[in-house]
Amino acid sequence: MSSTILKKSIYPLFILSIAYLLFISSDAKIIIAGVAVFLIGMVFMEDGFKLFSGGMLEKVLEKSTNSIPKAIGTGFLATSIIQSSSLLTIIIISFLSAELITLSGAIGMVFGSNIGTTTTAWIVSSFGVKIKIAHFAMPMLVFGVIFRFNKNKTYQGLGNILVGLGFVFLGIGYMKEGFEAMKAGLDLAQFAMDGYLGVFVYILIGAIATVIIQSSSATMALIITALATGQIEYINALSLAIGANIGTTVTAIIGSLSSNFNGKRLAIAHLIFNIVTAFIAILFLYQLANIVDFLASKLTIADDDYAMKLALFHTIFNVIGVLVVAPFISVLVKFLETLFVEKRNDISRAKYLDNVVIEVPEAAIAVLRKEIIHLYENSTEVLSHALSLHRHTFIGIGSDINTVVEASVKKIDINIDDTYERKIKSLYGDIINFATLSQEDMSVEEKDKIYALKLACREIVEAIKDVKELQKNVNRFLNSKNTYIREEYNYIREGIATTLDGIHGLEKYDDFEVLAKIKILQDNLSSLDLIGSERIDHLIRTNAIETKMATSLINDSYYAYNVSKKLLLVAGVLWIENKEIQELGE
Amino acid sequence: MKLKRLFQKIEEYFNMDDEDSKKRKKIDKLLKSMDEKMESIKEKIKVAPSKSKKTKLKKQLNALKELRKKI
Repeated sequence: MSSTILKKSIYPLFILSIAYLLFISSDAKIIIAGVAVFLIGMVFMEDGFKLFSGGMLEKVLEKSTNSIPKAIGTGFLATSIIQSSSLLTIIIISFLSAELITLSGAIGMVFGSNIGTTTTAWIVSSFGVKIKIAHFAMPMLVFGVIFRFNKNKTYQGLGNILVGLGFVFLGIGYMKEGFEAMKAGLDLAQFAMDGYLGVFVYILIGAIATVIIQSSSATMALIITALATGQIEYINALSLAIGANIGTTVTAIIGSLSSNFNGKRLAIAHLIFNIVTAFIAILFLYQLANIVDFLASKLTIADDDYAMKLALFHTIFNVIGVLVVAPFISVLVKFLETLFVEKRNDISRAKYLDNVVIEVPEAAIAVLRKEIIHLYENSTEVLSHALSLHRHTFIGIGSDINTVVEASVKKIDINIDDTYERKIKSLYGDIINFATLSQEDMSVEEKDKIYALKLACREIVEAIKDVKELQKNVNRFLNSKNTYIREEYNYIREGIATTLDGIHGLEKYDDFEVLAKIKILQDNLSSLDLIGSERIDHLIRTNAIETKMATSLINDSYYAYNVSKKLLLVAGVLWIENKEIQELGE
Repeated sequence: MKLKRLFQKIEEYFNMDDEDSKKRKKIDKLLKSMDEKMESIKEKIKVAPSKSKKTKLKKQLNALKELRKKI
């Protein structure tokens, strides 16, 4: 009871504390407003890059993680450009969930992202505190808003980026102004602490500030502006920066609580990295400060330019962290895979669909495709059993299907409606729901892909409904004394079984090979539809089969033809990537 | 009004060309890839280790030839 009350009261208490600070101190009001404006600027920039890049970012990220150094470099560059490690983390988790990148690639990107995040400190320390940066914010905001009203998504994205940058600069300006005004009334530098006690206290303050603000970039901006206005001592600022790194990990851990196992694995990797980095930074703090002084002199950074030295320190200790931890990524991967084991799901529920993936179109399409393949695999069991065949006797084992069909004389009593309800319907529902939600921010081309995948889904379900129609007679004539009718129904069973076997393993082939294989199977289909067949005419004329049997056979052969046709259409959608090649087969 | 219609026609003409040439480029690219694939299958047929493998590859080649006619 008391913990629930505590949880419910934290947020209102936080709001009241902020309100109190805003009320009692006009300087604190400016600083807090500066932080708020800075944060909203980051949000606009994040949205802007999503729109502006039009999926390019995701394509680059997907192809740039096949080695650890490449992944680290990609993480660094991407975060430096988009100025948002949280957006990158969302994309990484989506790609990981869609199995488009490996866990080691994802971890490499997260490490690189930690270095990339330090560029914010460089921007703030080089432009933010040296010039009247708020002046640059105004034109950015004006042009940003103008571009936002454009119908073109690229211009809208550019508008968001400009608005975001404008707010970021404005926020820095307010923070600087607030600290400068505060100095007259309250000099925070009087609270400076020496020695390792000071280091730990300020690390704690930095961590708490980052957890509250939910952004290490905003915390660094605060620290740099406070340092530039002389409100804090240099060594205390270094400790605050270490604390900000730790605080950002806490944010990631809290975020991962509602995430899937991939999100949790990445959050722990991030935690381990930051703990190791913080440990090194604390242990060698004064030595690192000396290294910073040395490098600063080489980079022509003034000796008293503590803001830029802080940015340099921030970058150096993150780089050292990567150099120390990166060689152990494979060990880390093994540990994480043991710590968070992927749950084996019930086959009737979605295996790959995850709401975290919805935000990234390419990943959403990839997981949707995987899930529909899962649906297809579930359906092959239903289709086979409806024909009184077992999948393992003929799919992918290279056996003579005719022999297998003739030998399969034991009826499999499957209630298709019941099996559909248990193994197909809920999965189908999950797929359609996910497809609909993910379409919202997609381009026309991406929506077309989703549409084709939804159609494939529907064809699978329709194939099951068609096979239900012929199940009754398949079982009725399975062991019929009339060899002719028995042979004809075996022919129908063989036709569908050949299609199922032909589709198995198509993922191993390239688009043209898949197209050719599907074409060969399609050409064999025409013999399944018996209405125009001379064979059935002969059977009727020679009274080999009764008239009722003949009509059943004609109808059922058409159902069988439709089942195979639908399955081949599904195969084309699922296993031919290129749209033009796919259309050739239609 | 007549002038407006004239400008519209000119705009459509340029767009049509643009659309047509894009379509043409896509078809040419597809034909080229298909021809390359068919050549690669022909090479595989020459070195196929068994008769059954040769037959399978020939069927694939014929299927692609038929599909190529559709382009």
